[in-house]
Amino acid sequence: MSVGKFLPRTPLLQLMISNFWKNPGIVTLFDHDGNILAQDEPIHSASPLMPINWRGDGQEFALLSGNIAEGGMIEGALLRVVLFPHDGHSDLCATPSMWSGMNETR
Amino acid sequence: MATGAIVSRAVLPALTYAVAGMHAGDPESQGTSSTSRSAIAELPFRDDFSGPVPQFLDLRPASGTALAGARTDWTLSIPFDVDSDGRDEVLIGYSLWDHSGQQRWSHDEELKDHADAVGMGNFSGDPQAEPRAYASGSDEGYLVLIGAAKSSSRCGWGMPKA
Repeated sequence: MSVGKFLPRTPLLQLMISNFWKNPGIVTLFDHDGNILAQDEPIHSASPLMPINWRGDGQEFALLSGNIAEGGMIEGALLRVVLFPHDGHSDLCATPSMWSGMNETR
Repeated sequence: MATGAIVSRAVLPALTYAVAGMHAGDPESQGTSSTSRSAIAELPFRDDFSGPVPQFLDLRPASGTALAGARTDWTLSIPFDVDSDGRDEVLIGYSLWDHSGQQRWSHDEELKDHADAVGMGNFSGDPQAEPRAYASGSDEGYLVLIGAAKSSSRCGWGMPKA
């Protein structure tokens, strides 16, 4: 379960969940009242869907994993918008973190 | 009232496709997630520390330290001050407990599947609104539950462990 600003044009935060078994891989985006805003199976894996401030403009993505084929990040419409390069990086674990301490708009 | 009443529930889609590369029922083989599967819930009661080391409750069935009535099957927990009394309550699966160890409410009898993820907070945009508890599980779907009578501007959420 992840809480973030996945839909930039809406004023509130949204909650994103991923099913882990029985119907695994289905990701659903809810508003705070439990209304379904989006639902899809963007990639077949179980992910914490950690919110990540990738753009720096207030919209957050959800991190799938660091895998080059099945990982990357999805946005509020549950489309994969970031893929990682095949540069030999480890993909067994991943977590978002702000190392620079900066939150600037790029 | 901190009733824990279910105010919304979404039924998630049934399995209608192949399960490739994953084995339902085998907790160690599901996907490329960075989460680790554990039945241990770490519960730091901030106001009740008896020493410098935070207290942890081991909810594994064999540990003997589980809260009375708490389900121990794949549950996870999140602390949050739902009633703004300065002490965190703990949402464990589908149950809410306070700092004294008293259970505020529980849906364990009616909900049979474990929760894969839980969260609590006021995400309504109204700072006076009551915080809610959120839980998701494959069989039980996604639930929005009333958390407490008082509002809080804090927000917190649980990362999926199961």
